[in-house]
Amino acid sequence: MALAAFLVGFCFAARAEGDDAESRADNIRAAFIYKFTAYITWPETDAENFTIALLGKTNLLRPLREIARDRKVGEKPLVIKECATLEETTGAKILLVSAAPGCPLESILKKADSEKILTVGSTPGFAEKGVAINFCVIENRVGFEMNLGALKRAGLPVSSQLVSLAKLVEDTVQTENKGQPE
Amino acid sequence: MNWFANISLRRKLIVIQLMTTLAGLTLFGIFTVTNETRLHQADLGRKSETITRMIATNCTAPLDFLDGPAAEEVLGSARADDDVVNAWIYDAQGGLFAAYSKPGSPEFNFPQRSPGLYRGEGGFLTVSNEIEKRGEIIGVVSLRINVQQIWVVLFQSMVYATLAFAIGMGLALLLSLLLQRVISSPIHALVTMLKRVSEEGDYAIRAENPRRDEIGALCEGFNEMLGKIQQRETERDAAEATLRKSEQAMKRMRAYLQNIVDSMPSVLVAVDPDGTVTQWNREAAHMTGLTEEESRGRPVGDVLPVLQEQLEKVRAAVREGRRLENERFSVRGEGQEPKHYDLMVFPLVANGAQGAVVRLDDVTSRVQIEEMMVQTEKMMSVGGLAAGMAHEINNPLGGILQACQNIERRVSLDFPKNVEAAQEIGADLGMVRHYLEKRGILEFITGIRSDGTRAAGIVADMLAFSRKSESRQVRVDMAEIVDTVLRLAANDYDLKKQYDFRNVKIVREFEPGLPSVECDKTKIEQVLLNLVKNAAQALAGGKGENLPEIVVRVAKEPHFVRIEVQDNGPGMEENIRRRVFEPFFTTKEVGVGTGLGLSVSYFIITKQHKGTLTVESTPGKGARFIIRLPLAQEG
Repeated sequence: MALAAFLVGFCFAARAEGDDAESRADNIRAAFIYKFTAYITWPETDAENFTIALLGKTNLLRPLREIARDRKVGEKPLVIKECATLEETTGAKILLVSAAPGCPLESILKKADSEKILTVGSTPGFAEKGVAINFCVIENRVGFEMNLGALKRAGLPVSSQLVSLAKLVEDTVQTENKGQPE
Repeated sequence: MNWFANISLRRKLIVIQLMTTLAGLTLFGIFTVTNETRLHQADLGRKSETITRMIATNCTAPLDFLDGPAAEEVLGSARADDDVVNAWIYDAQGGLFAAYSKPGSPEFNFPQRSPGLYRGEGGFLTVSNEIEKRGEIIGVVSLRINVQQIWVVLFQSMVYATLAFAIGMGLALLLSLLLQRVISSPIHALVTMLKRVSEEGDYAIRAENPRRDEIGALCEGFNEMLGKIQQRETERDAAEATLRKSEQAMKRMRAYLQNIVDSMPSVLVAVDPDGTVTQWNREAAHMTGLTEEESRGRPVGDVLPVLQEQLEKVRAAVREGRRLENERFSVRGEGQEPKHYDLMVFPLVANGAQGAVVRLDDVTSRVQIEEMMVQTEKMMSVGGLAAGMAHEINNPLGGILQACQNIERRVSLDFPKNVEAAQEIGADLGMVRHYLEKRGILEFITGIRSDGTRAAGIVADMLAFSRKSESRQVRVDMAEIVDTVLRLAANDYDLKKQYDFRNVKIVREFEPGLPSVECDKTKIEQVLLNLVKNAAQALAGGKGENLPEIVVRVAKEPHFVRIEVQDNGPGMEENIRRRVFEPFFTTKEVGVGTGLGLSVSYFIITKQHKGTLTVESTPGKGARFIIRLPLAQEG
């Protein structure tokens, strides 16, 4: 409930200009990331926590930590992990890729595909490059793009409801790899 | 239910059939319509819940991600169903998140509801469903659905039910008519037949019976019963006819016997052994003035006082079963002529009956007639004597009368021969005659002639009793005879006998168209003159207050001509009246009447003309003599 109020607050705030507006948009994005967990079928693991890893510098760390303080995903506590290297992201369920992650995007995506990690970005063009979900602004509101090919590659079934809310983008990675579009 | 009990079987069948069908079809219709409505409602409810749940599911993400347009798009999917009019999504705080209204329908504000079905007003149904995300309720979706369709379905169901009802009723009517033909028609025919039997009383009528079912058995039973009744009726009719015949014969016989008994001119009284009256005939009633009812059961002595002195004899005869025949006895009332009766008692012996029949005849008249006959016989002998004496007396009388006449002639101055003879002897006939007159000799001679003539008349009257009297029967007009007699009588007055027709009023009452009667005119004139003279004498003798009057009537009766001579003189006492026709009976002074006039008249009328002569009189009121002459003379 509190999250919803929070979300509504940020929703209107997102329309404002300036840092405050950007900060509110970050809060919305953080809330969206948390909400994504409900619409994706996660692979069963023995991990005790549900980990969201952040690679590279991002403004979402603070609002995510705020959310993770009193929330769980299923029965597992939510843990936010700030990672300096790609290797540190191992065991995470969601990997938030910043605009400058410090390593090539391809390797990140490769790891994500192999370890069934949902990749989330907030940089224009990332979705087309293979990031599964990438935040964007649609009609002056916070929205998100979705690369269904990336999700398929990562082996993460996603709820059609979530798909219906997203702006779908073409998967250029798949085209490059197989030489022809699906 | 009285009306139902009283209507015909045919109608009962139809009513029962139709009522049963009506009830069945009504129940079926109600059940069908109700069930159809219920099913449709349930179906609609289920459908609405499904739609609502689907929308709730599809709204989870838009609500979760606060994507209003997406939420509205999901709600808009409800337009696929025409019945959904409005849809709303509320968030967990109850705030309206998204809304949808069917194009053309008015806006409708609907408060949030907990999940479930709600019957709305005006034919709308509201269905709400929670929006869940992993067990967490994040909102509610509500749909307002138009349920008018239910009424359409209900109406259709009712139309079908009504159609089914009409067809069912038609079939029921047909079936009842068929049943009526099969069941009630034969019963109706039977009832009609029985009514005919009752009205016409004709037990020969039979019910037609072509069937072998219970109704057939009923018809057969009735036919058998009618047969028995008919047989009994026939036997009864025959018995009744016989009885009726016997009764009629008995009645006729009884009436005939009663008639015989009543026709008898005798008093007939049946008595039981105690002398109590059991039967009483008309003559008895006439004599005593008591009807049979009044006298029956009373002692015979009480109702027949004349038998008072004979009772012991009657009782003895009844007791001993002995006949008593022609016991004559007389009863004399105070100041009355004696009455004579003949008494007979016949014991009843046949058929075990007890008692006797008493017969009593009033023979007073007969006794008197017998007495009169004795006198008539006397007259006959007088007649016979007169006939023998006639010549012997008439010859001297003739000599005397002739001599008297000659004396009178020979002293008469009228004959010249007398005058001559007197002169021859030197006498004056006038002087002689004067002497004879002076000495009364001529008067003596006249007296001799008058008395001689009277004596000759007596002899002639006596000769009238003689059978030898000649009779010249001629046909005459009675009115003419009466007129002649009255004319004669008018000129005949006799100072000595003190009657004078000039003071008497004569009234003639002649019936017109009288037939002529064959009779001896002279004799009848003699009788009538005698009666008229008697009447005049009676009127002269009486000092009545009325003007003296003689009425002479002539009238026709079936076999007689009746001549009445009636006066209004002093009349007669009964004992005189009874004796007026006796010869030599007279009430007149000596020398005035011979006592033969009426008896000669009686003789002329009864013996010579076979008629009747009777007299009726009431003292002080005059007398009436009645002559009846037969129209056709016999012998």
